[in-house]
Amino acid sequence: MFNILAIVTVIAVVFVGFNLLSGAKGYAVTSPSMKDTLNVGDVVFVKTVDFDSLQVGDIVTVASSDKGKFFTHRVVEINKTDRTITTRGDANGVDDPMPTEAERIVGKVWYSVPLLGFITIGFSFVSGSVGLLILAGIAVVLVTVNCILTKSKKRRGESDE
Amino acid sequence: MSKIKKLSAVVMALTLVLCIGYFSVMSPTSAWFYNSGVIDSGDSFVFGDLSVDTSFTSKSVQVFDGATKFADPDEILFDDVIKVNEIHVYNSGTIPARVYADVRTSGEGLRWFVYDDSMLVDGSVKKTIESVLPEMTDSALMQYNVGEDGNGGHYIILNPGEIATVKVATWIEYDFVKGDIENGEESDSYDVEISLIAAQDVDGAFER
Repeated sequence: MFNILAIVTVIAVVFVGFNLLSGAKGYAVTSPSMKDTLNVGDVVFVKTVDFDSLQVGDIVTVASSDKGKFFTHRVVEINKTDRTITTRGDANGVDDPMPTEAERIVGKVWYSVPLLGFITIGFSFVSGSVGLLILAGIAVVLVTVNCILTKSKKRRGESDE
Repeated sequence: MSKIKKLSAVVMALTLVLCIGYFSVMSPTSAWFYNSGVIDSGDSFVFGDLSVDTSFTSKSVQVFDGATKFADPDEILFDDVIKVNEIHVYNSGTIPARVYADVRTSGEGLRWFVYDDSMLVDGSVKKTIESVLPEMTDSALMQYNVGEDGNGGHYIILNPGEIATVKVATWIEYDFVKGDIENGEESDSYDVEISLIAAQDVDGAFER
């Protein structure tokens, strides 16, 4: 158990550290509008991008005007004069109804990881304090299980002797 | 050594939990037209910059005192037997939207018809149904409600800032109920779930 916990923790720390150091921001995919490319439950990691370096076909994350909500769609048209882009969800039959201004582009999708977004989706159903309690509970369970397994292994070792 | 191992386990567990916490506080990214609407309880569906499939659902138990049949030309009490469910819809966003309806029930024989007052013919729902369906059959009614292959159906367009009252008439067909209810001597209750779905005002933007 100790070894498994150690391996999982190292992987998690490296992964989180890598993303924090690279400056990438993660977003959990919660709708199927980019189905097949990005599925519900994926986490997309997004890096800031210059408007001028954007290309048709890039997948970008865009913020709402109050920067409180986000969507991630593919760029289908770039208007350099107006500094706007037209986006579309791969699974949608039509382009998004309005062009997006350059200022609202959070960044370009760097890479995505499946399933991790379900952590975000799961925690979105509970309040912040309940979320903290759940996290504390997970920590307690991990430590307890580790203690129990270590003790039982020790006992087995003693009885074998 | 054992103490160091125990301490390391605690530190690792806390570190792992912090990593889980990192994912738990990420922002969600959704479809264009993210759901920023307020869904009031009861009979109001208010949406703003809405999701492609932002929906409002109202669940109720509906008691029907009698059964009827919309396709029966001799059925003159149709409008007296049906239940009319009214839902106020408000587009508080900046983009025109379509509002579709859907009705689900576990009971057999329940039929529904979505309309608004501007469609009413002589104030009669039955006459309105006759005016919009090419023929008075279940399949024509279904096609009107949910569209061909269940994709689409009748919708009401709401421009930004507009309010409308969407009406959903429900009834049970007498072919599917016991004689007493058919004759109005007993009542039968159905769990009915009425959903309104707001979507972009373009074809293909909404699929059931």
